[in-house]
Amino acid sequence: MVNLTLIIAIPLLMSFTMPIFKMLNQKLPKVIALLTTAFNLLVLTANFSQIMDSAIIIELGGWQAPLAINLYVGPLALLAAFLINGSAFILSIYNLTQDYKFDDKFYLLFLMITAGASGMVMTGDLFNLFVFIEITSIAAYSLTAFAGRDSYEASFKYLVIGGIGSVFMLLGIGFTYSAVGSLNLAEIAASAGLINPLLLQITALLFLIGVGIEAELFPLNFWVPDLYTEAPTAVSGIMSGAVSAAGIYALARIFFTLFPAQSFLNYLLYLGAITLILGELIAYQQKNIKRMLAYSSLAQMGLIVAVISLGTEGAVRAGLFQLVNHSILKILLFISAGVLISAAGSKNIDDLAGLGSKKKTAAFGFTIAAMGILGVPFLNGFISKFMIISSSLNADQFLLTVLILLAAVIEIAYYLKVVQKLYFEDLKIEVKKTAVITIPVVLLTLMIFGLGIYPQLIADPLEKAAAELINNGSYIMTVLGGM
Amino acid sequence: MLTNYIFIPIAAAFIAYILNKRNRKAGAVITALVSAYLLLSLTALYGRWDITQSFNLSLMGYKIDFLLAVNPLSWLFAVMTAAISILIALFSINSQENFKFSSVFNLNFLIIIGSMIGIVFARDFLTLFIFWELMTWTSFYLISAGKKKMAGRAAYRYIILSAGAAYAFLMAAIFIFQQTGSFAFDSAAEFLVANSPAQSIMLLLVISLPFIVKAGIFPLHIWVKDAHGNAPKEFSPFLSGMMLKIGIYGMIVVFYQLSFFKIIENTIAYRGLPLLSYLFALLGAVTIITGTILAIRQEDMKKLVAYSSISQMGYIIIGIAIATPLGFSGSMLHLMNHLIFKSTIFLALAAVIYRTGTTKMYEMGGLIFRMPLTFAAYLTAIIALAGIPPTNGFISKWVIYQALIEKGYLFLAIAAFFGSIASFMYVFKPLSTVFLGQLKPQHQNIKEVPLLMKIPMLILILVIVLFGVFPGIQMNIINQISGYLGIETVNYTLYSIQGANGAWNSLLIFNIFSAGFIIALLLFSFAKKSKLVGLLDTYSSGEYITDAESYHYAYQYYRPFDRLFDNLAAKSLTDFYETLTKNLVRSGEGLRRALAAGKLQNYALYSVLLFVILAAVGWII
Repeated sequence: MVNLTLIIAIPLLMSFTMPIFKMLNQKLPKVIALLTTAFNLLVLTANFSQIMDSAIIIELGGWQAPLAINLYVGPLALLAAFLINGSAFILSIYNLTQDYKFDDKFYLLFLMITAGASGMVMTGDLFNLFVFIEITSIAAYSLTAFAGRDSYEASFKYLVIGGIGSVFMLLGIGFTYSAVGSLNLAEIAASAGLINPLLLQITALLFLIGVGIEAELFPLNFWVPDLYTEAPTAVSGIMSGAVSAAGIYALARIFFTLFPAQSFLNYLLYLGAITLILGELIAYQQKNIKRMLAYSSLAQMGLIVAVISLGTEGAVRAGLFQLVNHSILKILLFISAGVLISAAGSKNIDDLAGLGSKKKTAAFGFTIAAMGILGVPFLNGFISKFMIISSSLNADQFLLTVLILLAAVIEIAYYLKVVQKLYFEDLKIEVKKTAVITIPVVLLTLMIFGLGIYPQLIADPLEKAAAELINNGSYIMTVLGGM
Repeated sequence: MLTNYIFIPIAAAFIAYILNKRNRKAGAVITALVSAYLLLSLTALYGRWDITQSFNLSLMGYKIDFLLAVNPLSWLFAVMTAAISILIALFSINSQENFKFSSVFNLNFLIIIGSMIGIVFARDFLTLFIFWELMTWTSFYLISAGKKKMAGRAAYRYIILSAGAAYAFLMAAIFIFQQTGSFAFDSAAEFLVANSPAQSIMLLLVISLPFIVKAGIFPLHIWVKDAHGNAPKEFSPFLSGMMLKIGIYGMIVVFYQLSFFKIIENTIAYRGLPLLSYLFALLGAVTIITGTILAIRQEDMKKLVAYSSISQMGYIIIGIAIATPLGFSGSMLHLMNHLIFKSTIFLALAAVIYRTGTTKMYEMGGLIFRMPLTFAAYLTAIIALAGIPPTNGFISKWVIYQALIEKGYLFLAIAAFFGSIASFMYVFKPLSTVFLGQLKPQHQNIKEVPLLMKIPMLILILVIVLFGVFPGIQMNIINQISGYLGIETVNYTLYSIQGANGAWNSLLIFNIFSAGFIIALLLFSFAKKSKLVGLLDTYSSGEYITDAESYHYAYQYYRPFDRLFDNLAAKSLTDFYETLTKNLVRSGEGLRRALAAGKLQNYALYSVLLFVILAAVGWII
């Protein structure tokens, strides 16, 4: 067993020493980023079987649970951490072929996002959660601006909205502390029943808005399209693959473990459903491919939130599986689209016509990921779609099911438009030289097929993660049990 | 092992794709070999209706059984799939030399073959759905590979209709799964019969949606014309001949195996037929009429034949919906025969396109002189389509008429007769404009197609006549299917079928027709030969003729008839669906403008507003 704190500590260390690495060798930052994320994955893998047995709790500084900040790594956190670090790893491979202008700073921030998001999912303390959200967002604000002039506006928008989110979040933390007298998640969860209902209601809403911004919920998500459109591809990828996953994790943690009440889940259910249908409707008429992917991401986030907040164990499992699939598929979509865009020199979907015969890997990656999202049999999206429909029907949410399927039809419409353009139309533009993305495409495709043909691969973690979310008593017990 | 029939083609698909990149002909050869293997091994399966295969899987907490089994019905469909695939693959060995997407074609074609066999062997909803989706997706890519622009749009329409219907199907299937704990057809049928009839009927109607779409039944037929008309020329025979039929297969499953007919047995009836069945039959009748009228108007020969397919599907639906022994047998006969003669027509047209490169009828003419075998194939096939003895098309239509007259369904019979007579008009149009008349100057030097493309057409001609004379071969398997589904069987011998008012003896008719043919042949050979004159050698009141083309009218061939239906045809359903999608786009754009117009201060406001609103909601509740 390797100490899990390293997952946060090593990326932070590497990120702040990045300028030194840069001085040693121009190429070094890329490699360091890759190695760090690979190291994180190794640490997680080393701890895998033990976490599956029972959650690991690390008390920082040697103090016991309610007194000091503790890390809590159960199956859910493990799943989320795998998603985050896996995304970062794949994108680091992709980054090997990319040249950024200030690459030491880029990788500094990139590792900071990884550390921040990993911290978000591993921490057992509310204020610590806030700190990690801030670390993640601040790194994300700056990373967005790496794509030159056009991205400044997007970065600024995110900064402002993210700032507002922090205010809400901080207020919520203040209220919670005043009511409970502790910031430890387990402690709050244990005494949440004693809080004045009105105060609880207000506090929960403050969190909903604060964290809802990270989880890209309607109507707090309008910064997302700008960001995904203008930011560098790797940043769009990590935002939709890792940061939004961490956001969902935080949302789930707060509304399942901290304040488990059906009324809050209902808010999330409706917000998620609105996000889903709105995202799909707007994505359908986008001409800019990255913007289309951004709205599609929004919609998927809405779907995941809606499904998870159905609150049954099957639904949570379905939602989490969809989250995993979404991370895999969206990263593949973003990096393939990035290559296609730089080959065409334009983000307009019409300009991508005929690129399928020139940029084979990227076009293949895009197609397979699109088909995964659309739920073609033997790809991962099929299983999660089946689980989602099944669990939402099981929860007697007939209308939601219809809505989800309607959204899926719209999704088919706009993804296939691009796929048809890529393969079945004539080339109109001069193809520019682009980076090679064979390795990430192959890796992600293997994952798509692997999960599609043999979903049992992650059945166990999913089941345990869902159980952990549903049953907050065991969370409280494991953390505070020693008292 | 039943899975072999499904996964061997799918595995071969990838091999074909890779090899075809090296050699243009490899893909089609592999397809032909695999289909031949399938056909042979399926023949060995004949009569062994007890073979089943199942897999248990605990998938993410759901206990799921995947069931496969053979029965006469699925065997017939599997054999039809394999047989037509061999012919198409043989045909496409030569015809794809200039086809840009030939690797994609063979990859997807083989996957479709495998997934169709999967569909017909499936005994539970999930297996059916998985292969159904696989078939839909791969055929989407196949249709997209056709003519530029239009094929893309057609495929797009096709996939959206299919996907919407398939999702509805999935929802209903999962609903049943939650009640019964199993996806199997048998337990679903038990549940549906025991359940309240209204809900069962709703569920079954939703379940039949994807089949209605695939079979191109009115009002979900709008994808058929463009998809069949613009798909790659080698795929159209399969699309029209086989994939429409898989929709019918699904309908039969819904009607009999999921006991739709049993559930509606005691509902309101019209002339002894439950109203819902009658409605299905009416849909069939409307499909016949719209398909026929629209076929007559087409200037593009592939689209014309596509509409004709729609109208022929109407016959099959009528026969199945009225659910008499004769009706069912007639439908099954017509289903097989339509596969045979429609593939012949599409292959003949593919041969024409292969040589001329166009599908517009008014750009062709006189090809009988250059492509006699193609002409013969086309002629035989349209004789069958129009239902003239001694071809197979007559017999199946005759049985369907018998069924309709027996029960006295006047309107249905009129629609069927109308479709039959009017089909003369549309099938004659390509015959006259493409093959007869004057040869266009640009087509002076074209030749008959190569041998490998002739063989499939020859085989099909022989089969048309064979089944025209010996319908008993088909009746054998049909009676087994009827027995399996619990329908009374129809009396038959090798060359006769017992109808409601009298029997049909095809051998007798064949002999009479042969005698007539021989007499005509004798007269033709002994009579004075006609003299061929040049195109410019004609009576012209002293004017000079310089343009040879003007004597062969092919554009707007049936204008007076079309004028009758102009108003009807203008009210296109396609427009309705297009407006629907346009409004969808517009609403998306409107929402974006209203909400996400890029004003940062608004975004900030939203978060506060959301807080206030939710707090208010929480306060009130």
